[in-house]
Amino acid sequence: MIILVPSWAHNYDEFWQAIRRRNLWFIKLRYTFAALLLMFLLSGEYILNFNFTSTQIQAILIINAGILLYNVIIHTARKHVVSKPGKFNALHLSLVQSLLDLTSLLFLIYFTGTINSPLYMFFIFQMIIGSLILPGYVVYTVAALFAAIFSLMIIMQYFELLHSHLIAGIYLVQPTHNLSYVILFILVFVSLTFVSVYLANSIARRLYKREQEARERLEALNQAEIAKQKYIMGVVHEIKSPITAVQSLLDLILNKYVGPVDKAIEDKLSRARIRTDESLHLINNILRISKLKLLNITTTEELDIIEIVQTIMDTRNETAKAKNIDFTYTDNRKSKKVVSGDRILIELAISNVVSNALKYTNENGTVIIEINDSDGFLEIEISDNGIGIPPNELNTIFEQFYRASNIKKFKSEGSGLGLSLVKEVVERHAGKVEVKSPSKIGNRKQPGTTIMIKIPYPERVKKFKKVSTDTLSQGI
Amino acid sequence: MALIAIIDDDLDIIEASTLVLKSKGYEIVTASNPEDGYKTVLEKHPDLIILDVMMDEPDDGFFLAQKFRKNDITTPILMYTSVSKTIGFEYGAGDMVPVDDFVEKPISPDELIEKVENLLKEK
Repeated sequence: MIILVPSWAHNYDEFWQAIRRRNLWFIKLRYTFAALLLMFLLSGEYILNFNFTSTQIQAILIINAGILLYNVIIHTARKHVVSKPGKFNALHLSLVQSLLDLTSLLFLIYFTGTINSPLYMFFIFQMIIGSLILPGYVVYTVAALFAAIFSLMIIMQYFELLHSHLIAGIYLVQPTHNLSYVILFILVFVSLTFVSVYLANSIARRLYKREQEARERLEALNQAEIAKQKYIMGVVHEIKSPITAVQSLLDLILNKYVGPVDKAIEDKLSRARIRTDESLHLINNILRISKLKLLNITTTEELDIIEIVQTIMDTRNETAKAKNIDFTYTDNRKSKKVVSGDRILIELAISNVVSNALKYTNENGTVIIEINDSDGFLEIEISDNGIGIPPNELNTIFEQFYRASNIKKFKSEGSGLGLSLVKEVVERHAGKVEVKSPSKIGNRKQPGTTIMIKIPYPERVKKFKKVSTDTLSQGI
Repeated sequence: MALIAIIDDDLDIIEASTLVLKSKGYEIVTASNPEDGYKTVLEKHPDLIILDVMMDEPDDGFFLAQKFRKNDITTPILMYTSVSKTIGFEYGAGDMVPVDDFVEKPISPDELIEKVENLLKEK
């Protein structure tokens, strides 16, 4: 059996899928063509006065029935055809289809006048279609074979060895050609055929190759991204160790385990403690982001949003009290539909936003959390009347390491990783994060910010990927 | 007073933990790699083992904890970790991780003392 498959495509699923799709497409086209052929016969007979002879009518009907018959057979058989190079595969089926179509077409051309048949143009069309699937040498062989048969038919017709089944109704005068016309016709036809095959075939081949290359590159990129994230986790982890040691030692001194400390020194050490805390925060956020990028999603469980918000409120309450910030939440939902996701990650995301809100709100300010139902999403809206975000920076705040220009003046802490982490987490849950500044509780002096975290209800989520715990423990 | 063995490859962490625990009157023995740690535990019979996860070593903290249990050393183990909460993965104490409690690094003196006291009380 001829191996029609190009060597690069042997184990390339996408190639086979494309071939199978195209086969199916041709089968559907063929049904259409059969219907059109019948219309050609009917309209030619009853509307356009083609004056078909009874032989022509019979022949076209038989050809049409033949096309329909083999199309039904191919349509049924295609499901059983394999995608393996060594056996009768989808490509062989394509070749069989192509040969059957060309044979039908030759008969059709013969019964509509050979050189005088307008239908010969379909031959070019056939060759282009064949070129899209079959390897070059097969298409060229088929093209040569059929061009030769067609040319032979024309020559035989010229020498009256073959009967001319002209469509009587489309000529005013019986068409006659001299030998020069016949030769010119054949030359033009043959070159047209081969140029079309050449063009279509090289384009199709290049397309396949490009597709494959694109795929391979994408795969390589994914691998590189995973390697990069693992590397980052490793490096960041290495950095974390000494910083935790520094912080442990600072805690030792600040908690007076090594004896009394001079007030001035203690102040500086406290400052150092804040900075190590800040680096640890940053490091932990980087580790979380890397982890998120390594895994699609960690675990999926039903989330009790009120409980999550309550936990966050409890842990942040002290900060709020210290700045005398009015810190409350309201639940505006009518029905308590459940969302699912990774509890720790969702809590992390909300907690990041809340902590920003508290950080960038001045004393005696307000931070409110509202829980709403909004069009298939559970919406957690965190609003403050703090310093707000400059309008021209609203689009960039979700970028990694981005910190709004006005907070750099406000305080030196903060890594600029928080919101990009929030976005990453929420998008992993097929949700959205939106930001508004000024917020609804802001005023001219204190514009404030509203951040909305929207998590879709299960009916909106098409697919939720689960990751087993063993992948979870990798890379720790 | 109870004897506590601290096994960690970070000498500063050993020093910080030692100071904190000594201030509460505990006696301390230390080791900076799993091999020495195992020997120390066999020789000194501490009442509590503080063990770092030590992910860099081929025989890490988990491995050492399993080795203790396999050899019928039932001394309570308090494990230092630096990753559990960070990446949302809580270790569960169990057959795979035969330890009694965890302390997340950086170590807060108060938390360390509290956990040490609890484990010694249970014993």
